[in-house]
Order: sequence, then structure tokens, then C-alpha cells
Amino acid sequence: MKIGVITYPGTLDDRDAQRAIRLAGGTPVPLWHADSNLKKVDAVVLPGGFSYGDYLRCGAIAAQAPATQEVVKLAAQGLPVLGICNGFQVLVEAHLLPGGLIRNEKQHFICRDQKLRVENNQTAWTNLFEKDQEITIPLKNGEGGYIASKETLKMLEAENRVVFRYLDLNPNGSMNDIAGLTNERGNVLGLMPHPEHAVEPGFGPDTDIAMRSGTDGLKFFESVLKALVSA
Amino acid sequence: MECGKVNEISRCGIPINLGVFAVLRENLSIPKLVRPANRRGTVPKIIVEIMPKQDLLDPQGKAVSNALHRAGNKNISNVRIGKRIELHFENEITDADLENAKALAQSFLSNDVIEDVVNVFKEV
Repeated sequence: MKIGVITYPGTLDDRDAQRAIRLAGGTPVPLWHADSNLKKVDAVVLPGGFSYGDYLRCGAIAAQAPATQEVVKLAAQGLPVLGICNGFQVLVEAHLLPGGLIRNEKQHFICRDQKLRVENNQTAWTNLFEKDQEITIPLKNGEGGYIASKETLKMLEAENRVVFRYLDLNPNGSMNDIAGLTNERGNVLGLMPHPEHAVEPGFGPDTDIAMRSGTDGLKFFESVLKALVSA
Repeated sequence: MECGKVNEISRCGIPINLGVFAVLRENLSIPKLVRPANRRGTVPKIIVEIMPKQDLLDPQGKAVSNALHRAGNKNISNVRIGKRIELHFENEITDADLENAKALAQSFLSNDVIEDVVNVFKEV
């Protein structure tokens, strides 16, 4: 299975995402933002970083890129899309997901191992998690405060589209503790924390068993491979 | 050669005629920075003004407001900071240009979840 990873000018975590895909058993395919040819990939990851230096608004310029516009088209046909951090901001700016992301409530850039609760395990990227499972993956952002109108929030909650919620503490002031959400169809997932940084023992978050042994992020990529096989 | 700066420099293997420096210095002082005509002034422009939504926290504004208070400006109750975007045009601005700019202001230049377009106007 081929999973594309789009690199924009200013993207940082494209290599980590590619590595995560490889460790999960998929074939990563590097994609370039200016190229609308997505090389017939079976799924796409929009990785984290600071595309275009966060100019105008985080993710706003990347949302206009030819590759992103192609993703928007194919997402409507069911292509699984995962937006991580800046990728989440791109998805929001490209109107694949509702709402917006603003500067963290306390105005600090935050970097920590973040506990999350899996609220929805029916998406292309979360089907290997248990419902209400608690996972820990790294979080690192400056503009991760999720906001949306009251009506949008109500709709997201009613349709079970909040996929991850922050546990123990809300690091950035996100409404309803929202860490990640999906679209109506469940093929597009955006979240602020970074699953691709928790895929290999020795390099992930600490767990009760051993230091740096957390690999909860790997399930995201294994989930999409499973979804693609059974599709 | 024992004396003088020429010797000092040439010892490093770079033969330099000190006269060059004099010429350089003179050249540096001559050019006056000319403001490009397309930056300010006569170029036709459309101005787009964008503000963060009223009910959202504006961290920049809050920090500036606090600084102003510390500096004794007790009568300034709050500060909010938005954006002014200038669109420069090659030719005279038409009504269609203005309409297009208004559409761009709503779609790309601002995000209606977090910002309001306050004004789009031709600068004369």
C-alpha cells in the first residue's frame, strides 16, 4: 500500500511520517506541494511543521497548493487523509474540516507527551484502537487552540466526529478539549499531537514499562493499512 | 619592508592597495536609497483590513495593552491588533478588481472562523 506524504516549503516532519509508514508496513511516497500528481497513492499524510513560515495564517497558503487541491478532490471520493499539527491546520484552511486553530491560550509553544482519549475508533486512521482507549503521543505546537462556532461544536459532538480529546490537562485551550476530529465520512482525520513521533521503542514517550517505549502512534498507520486492505 | 599598514596586510598574502579603501568609502557614501515607485505613493492600491473576531483572545493586543499600562497609559483600556494588506495593481483599478479583492478578502486573505474583514477599499 502506497501512502503519500506531502512536503511543503517549511514542512518539518515529512521524513518522520515516511518512517512511521514504513514501520507500520506501508510504502511511503514523497509528494511535492507544487505537483498535483499524487502518484496514485492509497492514502495521504499532511505532516507537521511550519509551511510557508505560518505566513498569513497557519496552513492558509499550503491549503492553496496544487497537491492540497488534489487531496481535497480525492478526499471527497473517500481517499484517507491524515493531517498532523500543521497538516491539521492545512485541512481546516482547505475546508476539509470545520473550525479553526488559534494561538495557544497561555501563548506558549508547548512540547510534551500528551495523554489522549480515543473517542471514535470508526475512522480510517483509528480502527485498531479500542473505544475510550487512553494513548500517549507527543504534542508540540504554538497555535493549537481549536475553536468553532457553537453550532459547529454541537454538530461535531452529535455526529461523534471528535476523534481525540485531551486528557488530564488541556494544553492549548481547545474548545471541548478537542485534540482531533474527522469529516462526515470518517476518511479525513486532523489532530494536533504527533503520532509519527511514537512509533518505535526507544524513541517514543515514556510508559510505565520503560522509558521512551511508547508506540501508540504506530496504530494510526496500521489502521489505515487495514482499512485499505479491507476496502 | 618593516613599517606601515601595507606591510601588515600583505603579510597575510593579500596585496592590497590602501587607495582601494578610500574609493570604496566614497562609493558607499554616494548612493542615496531610492524608494521604488511600486512600494508607496502613486501605484493604484486596494487595501484590505482584517481584525481578529471580537470575542476571541488577541494575544498580541493583550501583550501590547499590558506594556502600555506599565508605561503609564492608564486611560487606554484595551488594544487589538489586526492586519492591513495592500494589493498593488499595474493599471487603474476597476470595479471588477474591487469586487475580486472583496471575494479574495473573504476566501483567502481572511478566515471567517477567527477573523472579520473590516474594510476593503481603493486607496486614492
